[in-house]
Amino acid sequence: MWKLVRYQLRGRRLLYTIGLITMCALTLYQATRFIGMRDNPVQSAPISMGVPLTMAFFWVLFYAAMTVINIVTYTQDLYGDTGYLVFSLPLRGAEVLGSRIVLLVFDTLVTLLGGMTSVIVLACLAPGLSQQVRPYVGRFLLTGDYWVMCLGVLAVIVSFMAIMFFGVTFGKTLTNSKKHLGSVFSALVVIAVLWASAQLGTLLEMRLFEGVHLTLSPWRNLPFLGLGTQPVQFPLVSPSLFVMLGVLAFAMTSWLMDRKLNL
Amino acid sequence: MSMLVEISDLTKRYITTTALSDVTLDVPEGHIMGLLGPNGSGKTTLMKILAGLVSPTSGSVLVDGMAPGVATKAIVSFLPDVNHLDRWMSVGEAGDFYADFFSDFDRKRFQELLDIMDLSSGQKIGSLSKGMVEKARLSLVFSRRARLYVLDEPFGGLDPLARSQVLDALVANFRTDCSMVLSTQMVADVERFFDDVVFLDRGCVVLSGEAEKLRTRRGASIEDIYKEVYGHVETR
Repeated sequence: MWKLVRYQLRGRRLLYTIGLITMCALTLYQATRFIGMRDNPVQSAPISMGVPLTMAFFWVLFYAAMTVINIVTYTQDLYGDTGYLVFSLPLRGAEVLGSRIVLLVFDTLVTLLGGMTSVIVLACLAPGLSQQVRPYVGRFLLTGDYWVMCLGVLAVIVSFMAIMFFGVTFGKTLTNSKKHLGSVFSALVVIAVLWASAQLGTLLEMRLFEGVHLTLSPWRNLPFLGLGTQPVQFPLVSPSLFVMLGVLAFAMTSWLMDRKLNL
Repeated sequence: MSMLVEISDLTKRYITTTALSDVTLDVPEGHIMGLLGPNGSGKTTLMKILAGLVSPTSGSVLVDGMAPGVATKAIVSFLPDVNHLDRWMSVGEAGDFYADFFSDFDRKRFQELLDIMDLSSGQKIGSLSKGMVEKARLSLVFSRRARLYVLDEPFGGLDPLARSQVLDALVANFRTDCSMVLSTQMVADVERFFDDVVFLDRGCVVLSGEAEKLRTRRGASIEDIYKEVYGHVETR
């Protein structure tokens, strides 16, 4: 599996290079602007946290692009010619699918770390903001609740992608080479699974697990954000159910790849 | 004589079509089998089943005694009829890829084949002509010391000289402990290598047997038998 991850990363090296250089260039451009403003008292009006957070938004766009590419290349493997290379390897379906999940986790970590670095660097350089931010950076990075929240988000994203992969594989298995029919069927499967998950999650939260929440304070070490230091209640049942569905989708996709593949 | 491939009552149905219907055939060890038939006769489906890329609807398929799966993929060297290599790879990287995943991949043999095919490791797949890509793909497939070679239209993009080079390489590297299933429309060029032939039409075996016996019995070359068997296909 790890060999396949390595090759898939190599296949994407141009995309990563272009994407990361663009994000670094944007960060550097904004950082030099802030440095210039600090040196020029006339321009040094206080900067709000909104500017560094705009950079985080660009990182989210980068992540969205990489995620779409992940789904598109997987679909191409099933419907296109490169699938003959990937699926003729002596690997189990779980290994092929696992390599895709590892890539997704890699993309998520790159985005998280890159985005955090950009935001922190810009916040530490922004006139009027740096004095507020700098004392809290170290403490924020050690906020356990923040990392627990990130881990939860990662688990939900991975589950969502596992369900997407299941939809694509199931659609392909049933419709064989009819790509458009397969795509429509795949979309229907994904929508049905997401709808069922939402309905069941709501039902469970209302009937069986009422009041079951995860209370976290991810922003407690960033008082200047204005989000308050009060703990936030995160739903626990629906995301847990979603993750279970993701695991099930992974297992079923692996089985389909091993037993019902129709390239 | 031991059979490397044993297929019995194999049927493959898609939603609207039946690609293969009750196909039964064996490929003995050390034999080259020609899989012949017009477009849509089920050749590619049969080869994909052997390569473990398509699951049969019913019937039994055994490759070296095993149902197609992870274990058979390790001993089957499959060449699809389309370019299956990633365009970003160089020829050398494609060789590394094969070497990483297939323990039977012989790097020395790969380099020899690249030299014969007049290819270099640094050339990008995306920048190669169709014929050159075909040569690179054949070099990769023949560099494996596989038990079964499954080649779907391997000479499609090759000029006559390159075809001759490939056939020479094929014969030079063929071992008695392996077998080959080969589909081609260029029957005249390849028929001398066939030990057995199977003629498929609309997913059914319409004629099969040892190539030499068929030639003797019908007093014609395999190409002529092909024309005789599928004569009606051209006009339908």
